[in-house]
Amino acid sequence: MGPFHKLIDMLTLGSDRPVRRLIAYYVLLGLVVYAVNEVWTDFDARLTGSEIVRVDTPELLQDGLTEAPTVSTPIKKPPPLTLLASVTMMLVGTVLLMLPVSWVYMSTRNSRSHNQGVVQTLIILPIVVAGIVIIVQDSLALAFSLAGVVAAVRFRTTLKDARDTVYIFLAIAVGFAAGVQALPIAALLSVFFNVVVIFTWRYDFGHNVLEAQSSTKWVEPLSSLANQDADTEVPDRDLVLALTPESADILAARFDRVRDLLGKKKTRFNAVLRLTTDAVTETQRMTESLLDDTVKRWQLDQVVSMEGKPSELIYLVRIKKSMTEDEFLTAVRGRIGGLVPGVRLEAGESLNEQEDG
Amino acid sequence: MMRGALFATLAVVLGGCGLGKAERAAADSASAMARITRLTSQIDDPRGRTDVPLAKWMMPRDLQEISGMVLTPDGNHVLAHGDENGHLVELEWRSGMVTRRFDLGEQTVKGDFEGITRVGLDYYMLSSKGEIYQFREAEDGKRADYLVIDTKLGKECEFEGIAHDPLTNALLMACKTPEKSMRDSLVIYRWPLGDNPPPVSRITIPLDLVIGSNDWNDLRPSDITVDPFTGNFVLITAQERAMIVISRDGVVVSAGPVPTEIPHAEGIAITREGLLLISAEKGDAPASITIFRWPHPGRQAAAPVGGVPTDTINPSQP
Repeated sequence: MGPFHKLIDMLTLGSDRPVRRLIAYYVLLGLVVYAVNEVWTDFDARLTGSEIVRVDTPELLQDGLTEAPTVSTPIKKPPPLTLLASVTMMLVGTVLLMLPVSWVYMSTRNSRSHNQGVVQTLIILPIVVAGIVIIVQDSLALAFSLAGVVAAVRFRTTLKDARDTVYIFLAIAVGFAAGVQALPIAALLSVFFNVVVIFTWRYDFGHNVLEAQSSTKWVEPLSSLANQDADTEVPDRDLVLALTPESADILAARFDRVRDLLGKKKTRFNAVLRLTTDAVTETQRMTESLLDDTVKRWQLDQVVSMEGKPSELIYLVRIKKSMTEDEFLTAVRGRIGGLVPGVRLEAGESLNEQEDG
Repeated sequence: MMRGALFATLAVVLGGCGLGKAERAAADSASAMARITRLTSQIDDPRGRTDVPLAKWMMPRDLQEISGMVLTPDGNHVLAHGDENGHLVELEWRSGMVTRRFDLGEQTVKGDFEGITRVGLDYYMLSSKGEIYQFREAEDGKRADYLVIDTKLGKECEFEGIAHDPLTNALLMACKTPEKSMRDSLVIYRWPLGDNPPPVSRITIPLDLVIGSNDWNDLRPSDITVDPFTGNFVLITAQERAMIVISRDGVVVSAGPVPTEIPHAEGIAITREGLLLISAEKGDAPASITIFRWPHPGRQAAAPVGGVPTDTINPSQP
């Protein structure tokens, strides 16, 4: 998939927007089919099943003047290699047409309704259906046999989401189309289905007007992340600390995008001060007096009490530009050093840590 | 329960498979021989009726919209085509057995094909726009190269049938829908073949004279052929279910209904044995080829085909 992936990147100018990549995929697939069709003259015939069938065994036509059919019509099959090439083309075509459907499924589902089993079924089911249709073709006997086998096997699955059922139906339809060598119809189904699904998802078609739209649900939390002047909570600090540098960068980039979207504002605080102490009340009083004198603004974020262990006071602070982090730590140690065995400052965008004690 | 279902399935599969390929071919061959014997005995009956079908072959799936047919050089087969593409099927008309299939062009040519005729080994297939596709037979399952002759007559007429007149060595092209100025006439174009051919000409016969006492409102030919015994032109129409016989000079010999109820007759051929083959498009019923006796000088006509002879009419020929 490497070169194919690069080609899609090239067509989308490196964009990672799903819709653009989907369109690029279909365009690329169309170009490949066109190119193959130009080189391989029989390609169109194989694709649509319109290749000429040889009369290996002369076919006796039904006598229209007699009541009953006089003889059975032999089932004509193309030569084995031709059949192999056609069937392979059908199956590969099925996978290529269902891949974008599975991508759309994954993109338009939230984490709760996402079902990996359905995703894999979307790829596998049409292959099986196409295979069955190719085998059964015009044979009534085989069709009855298939019904018998299916009745004997009995498989039933309940899907949680009605939309999953629609995806399954599409997979069956594509499989059928491929089985009867009507891949152009399967391609049209795949494209049209994806377009409709994306539009209904993008515009939240059919939502309850009394409930907030999915897009508006995120406005408030995103605003709180971007608008640091508001009196809102900051993201979970422990969660931020648990991030790897790579994931922190990704998260930061996302936050930057949100800020770009909702307006650029300076961050309200630029450091987190963590104090470990056994005398919580006294430490809090002295610390807040110190912070009033030394920092631009501060806020008590959390007091963590642990049984049998020292408690922890956590302050969000904005250190003045005229003061370095070292000077601030020195001032803290000088004022309340006797009460606080541990002082820790997490400051700056990279959350540099300086510990004492 | 499960085992029972599987056994039942197996039984159905085995029953459906039936005879083996070789046995089936042998059975088909025997049936074909029986059909040929039966038809031959019927042909030889000199007093047999001409309005009763002798045989009727239901077309295969790939020829559900049969649009034209012509006898092959050996006279034992007809080559038939559909109306949407250059897919041709050869069948032995005595037994109703498909013997060959081939297509025109590297990629099967598409078009609105309306009729076919043969001159020697060359076949000419006509589109409704007046384009003639010239080709020769290809082997079974192969593709035939073709040459397109644009007659430029498409502006004057929508064509529906083609035949070869051996006497004038010209292709006869039956006009289904002529331009306004000729709407009240039956129009047949002559497209001369060979080196230094004479100019294109046409036969126009006033419709009133052709219709005669029949209750047809219009006449739109769907195919034309040449009677090998008399040299007359024989035309059929799908909508009116009419059969018209006119002489080479444009004199109406007879005009009447086709021998029996044939829905949407689209093709016609007359064999050297004195049989009339009429092909019908799908319509409400499956496509088919029906075989009748054709009244020729050697036969004692029990019931005339195509109605009673009409008075001699002087056609206009430009």
